[in-house]
Amino acid sequence: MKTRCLKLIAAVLFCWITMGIQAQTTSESIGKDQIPLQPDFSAKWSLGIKLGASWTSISQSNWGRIDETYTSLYGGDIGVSARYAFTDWFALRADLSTMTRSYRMDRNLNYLDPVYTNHINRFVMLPIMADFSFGGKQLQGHAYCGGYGSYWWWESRDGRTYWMTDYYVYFENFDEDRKFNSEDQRFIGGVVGGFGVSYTLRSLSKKDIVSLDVLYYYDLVSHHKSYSHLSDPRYLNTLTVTIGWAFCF
Amino acid sequence: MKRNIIILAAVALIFSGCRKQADYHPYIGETSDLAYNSYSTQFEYLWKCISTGYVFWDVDKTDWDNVYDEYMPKFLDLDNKHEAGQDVTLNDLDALYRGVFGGMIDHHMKVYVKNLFPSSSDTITKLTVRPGQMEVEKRDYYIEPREEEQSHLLEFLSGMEAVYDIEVHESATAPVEELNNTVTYHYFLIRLADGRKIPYLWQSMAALTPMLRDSSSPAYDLLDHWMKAITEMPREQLAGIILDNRANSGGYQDDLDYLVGTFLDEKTEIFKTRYKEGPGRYEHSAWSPYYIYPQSKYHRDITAENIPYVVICDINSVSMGEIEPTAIKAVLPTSHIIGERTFGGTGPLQPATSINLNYGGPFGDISTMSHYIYTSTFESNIGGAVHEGIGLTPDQVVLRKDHNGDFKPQLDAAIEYIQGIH
Repeated sequence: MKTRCLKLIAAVLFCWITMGIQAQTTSESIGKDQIPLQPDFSAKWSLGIKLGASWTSISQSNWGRIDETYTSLYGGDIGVSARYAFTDWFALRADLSTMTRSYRMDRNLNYLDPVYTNHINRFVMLPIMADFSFGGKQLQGHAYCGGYGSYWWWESRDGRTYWMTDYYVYFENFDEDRKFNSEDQRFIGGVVGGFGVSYTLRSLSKKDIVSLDVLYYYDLVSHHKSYSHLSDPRYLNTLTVTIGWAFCF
Repeated sequence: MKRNIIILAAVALIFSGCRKQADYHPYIGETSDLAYNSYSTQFEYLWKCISTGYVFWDVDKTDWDNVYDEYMPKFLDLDNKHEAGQDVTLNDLDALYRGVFGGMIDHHMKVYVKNLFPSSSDTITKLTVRPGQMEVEKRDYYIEPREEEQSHLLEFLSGMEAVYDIEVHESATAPVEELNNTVTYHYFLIRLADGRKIPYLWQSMAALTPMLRDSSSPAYDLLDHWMKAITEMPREQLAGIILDNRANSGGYQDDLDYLVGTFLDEKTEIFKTRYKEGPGRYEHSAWSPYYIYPQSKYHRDITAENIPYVVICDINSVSMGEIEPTAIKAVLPTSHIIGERTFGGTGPLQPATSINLNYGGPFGDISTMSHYIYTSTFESNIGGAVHEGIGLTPDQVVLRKDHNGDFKPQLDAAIEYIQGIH
């Protein structure tokens, strides 16, 4: 566990420092007389909202699963974001959102192939990211990297199950809230990275910014707890595409 | 930009190494990695199969990880003993496996394990652990094991005509291949003092279905006569119905169609079942309703006619032997259950060949492997609760033990109850 944590810290630092040096070099090469990358650098703080779609897959071992196929499901991501610019090229950004991170399990064994389950998971996500900006005065590109903590607050599942007698198999649809149990790790975390573009609106106010971000959330903590003699970790991977609006002040 | 992507890809690779890898965990009964050649690896295999495939982890309080911690060193000691050239007896193994499985609540469970390196002093090489039997033997109303009770009950039934006014008595014995057993049936038409009649049925296993589906089966006529008596006899002649499930060791789920569906007009949920859907201990499917469908061959609305339907059960009524009275009680208002709290094996089973469907249930083969574990395939939920290990408490408790082991008081109580309903 210690080794894993050290690896994680080292990787974050590596990413942060390397990209920081690169961005600083770019900034210095522009020179003092040139146009700053940040259109209104006096606006250090910005607050905004974001809304978009999520697409989640699950990574887990196939051990113990005979005929189950897992596929991705779409969901949503809605929340607020806050950004603080330290320089014209570097800012820290934190989001708070509720995100659907869902996936589907299909049975594919013989006559059980009508059986499936959609696992609809909702998380409160709190990513904190370094935001490296580049580009023009109004249109900017962003590279993000950071980590996140999250809380799994709700799961429902729907699909089709079966019951059987001595001679027959019957299928039944179901749709239910799932109760969490002691195997569920509800506080999980991971790393997040991605890219985005933002555009400062002229027509409204110079302090209004619209953005489009693509982020990838990569769990480093299993949402299924391990037993002391049997470990079966499961990790979610989520790609989000969100649009946002932010107000600088 | 390109450099950024390369850096991010490198970071992603580093992070992918931060994810923990899964241990090998078989689905229950998986044999692809079955290479155990020591007492400790045999134990580990069985421990893992139960960890992933046992269907009752949500209600069974056994600390399975603690079981591993406690018993793995003891099995390693057996390995050391064997490697040192000393005999490991079946008693040595039996004591350990009783400790491992003895506290589990699955009352269907039977654990058969062979001694991998039989001792020259052992005359048998296979041990058997039955956790359910170990539990019921501690109940204060326990008298005898099921096999002995069946033998005593058959003696009682053979003397019924001397005690009661019997108009009809038919008996049959038939092999039931799917149950790997021979089933005995007794049908009595008991005549009351007022001339009304009670069709009574006892069977050693729940095996109406294979007989009634085949008109050439040895017990078809007997069962057809009982079914016709309970569905076609005029109301003024029919005092009530008695189904005697004492010492019934279970059998066909589809018997519910005859014993419950006969009296229904529409599809009716009697309980819910679920199965394992993954290797996590609490990883179950959703609960699915288990329905009974109305019978077309035999039918009667005993609720509308207010016909009492009494089921006698006792401590040795297990599996379908106790699920039947539970279902009857759940959906038929004129039912009445008499006798003792039942055995507590309420989870339906499927054969070992169906583990790939259910991720649970019986696994292994004692003839070709060194283990066979008979365990429930489904968990059942009756009236919102799982009764595994507890059993059904009757509406009217009449204990054999209070009557020196006599079977008659329970039957008398059933007849008296029926006589009181008009």
